[in-house]
Amino acid sequence: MNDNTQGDGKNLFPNAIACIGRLGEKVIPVLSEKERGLLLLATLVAILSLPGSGFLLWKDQYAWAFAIFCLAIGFFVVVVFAILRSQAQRADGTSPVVPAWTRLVPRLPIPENKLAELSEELEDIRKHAFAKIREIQPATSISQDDVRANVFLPDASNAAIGEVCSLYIPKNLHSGMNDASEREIRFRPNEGLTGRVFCRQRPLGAIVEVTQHGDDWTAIPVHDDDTSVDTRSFELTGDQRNRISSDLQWIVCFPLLAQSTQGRVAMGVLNIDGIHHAMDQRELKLLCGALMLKVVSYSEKLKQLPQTKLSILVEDQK
Amino acid sequence: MTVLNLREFEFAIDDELLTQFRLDDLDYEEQQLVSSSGIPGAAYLGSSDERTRAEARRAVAEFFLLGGG
Repeated sequence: MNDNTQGDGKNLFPNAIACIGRLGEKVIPVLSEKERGLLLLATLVAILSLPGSGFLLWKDQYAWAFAIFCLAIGFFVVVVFAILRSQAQRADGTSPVVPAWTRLVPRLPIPENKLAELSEELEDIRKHAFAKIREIQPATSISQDDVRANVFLPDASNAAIGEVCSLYIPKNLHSGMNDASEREIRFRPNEGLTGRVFCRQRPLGAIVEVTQHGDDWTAIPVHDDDTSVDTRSFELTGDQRNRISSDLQWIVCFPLLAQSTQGRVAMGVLNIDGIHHAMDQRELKLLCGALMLKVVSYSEKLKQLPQTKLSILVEDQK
Repeated sequence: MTVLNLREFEFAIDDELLTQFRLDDLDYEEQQLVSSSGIPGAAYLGSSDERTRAEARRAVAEFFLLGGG
């Protein structure tokens, strides 16, 4: 028999510490950061409750001493139980999987009465944009027909065949877009400026440059600092290019954001664009600033509609 | 063949952009929606104190333009 395990009680305390240490070495590495933090907190609370309860006993506060001791030990037991349960679930593959990507978006189809309201609001934003452009460019000859507006919302009707969603313009959520073919354009998330703003959840501007020798729209990178992704996957298709008006000059593209319990999410995208009439980068920045609060208000209206949750689950299997 | 190339850019937050933030551009209902949106600073866009308003404008712009995702 090992000397350290003799039952004379002399080495009981060091042995117990060593045993806990060995157990810790095995258990701690498999815990997540959150579990480790929680376990540390519960252990500290349990340890601190001992002198705390002792002090209260010394002061003849028996009920308080008992209550504090029970609460601390109870907290410790609950945490250990929760961690063990989580470990067991992880081991048998039944632990809940956190979606890799998730969005709360307006449920389709949007009710007709709401669609009419949103359409009216969009027309108002378009008129506001036109008025602002006339302020920004006092000598402009732009006409209201040169400013257009549209809203793209995610449609998940093809989710069953593996397409998470595609962004499309719902009926009546456009203004000044006279070409039906252009209104039927769709973008995948991250595809084109609309898809990119939907994913990145921040506004972008774009100026169209007419060239004689190019053969495509400029590729749009997936992330600013990510050079590992083949951006050609996100270029516009021939069908998309054919649908876009050849008179297009500029676009200001806003995410329709909602502040939710999940944080800040884009439910769709609102575009203001211009045909025939050029604007420079600074002028588009001013237009962006002038429209931002209108877009926030529009987003809030959209947020009040019934919603659908889109998620991508990535779950490792045994 | 003539083709369209799209040059994209982000919007910088500067004083020029912030001067375009005008709560007066919104009608009453829109102002209420913006104020109650939960966006940091949005509730103070209509403050009577100019400094508070300026800070609120910047906070809303940062939420909107830099929030990332």
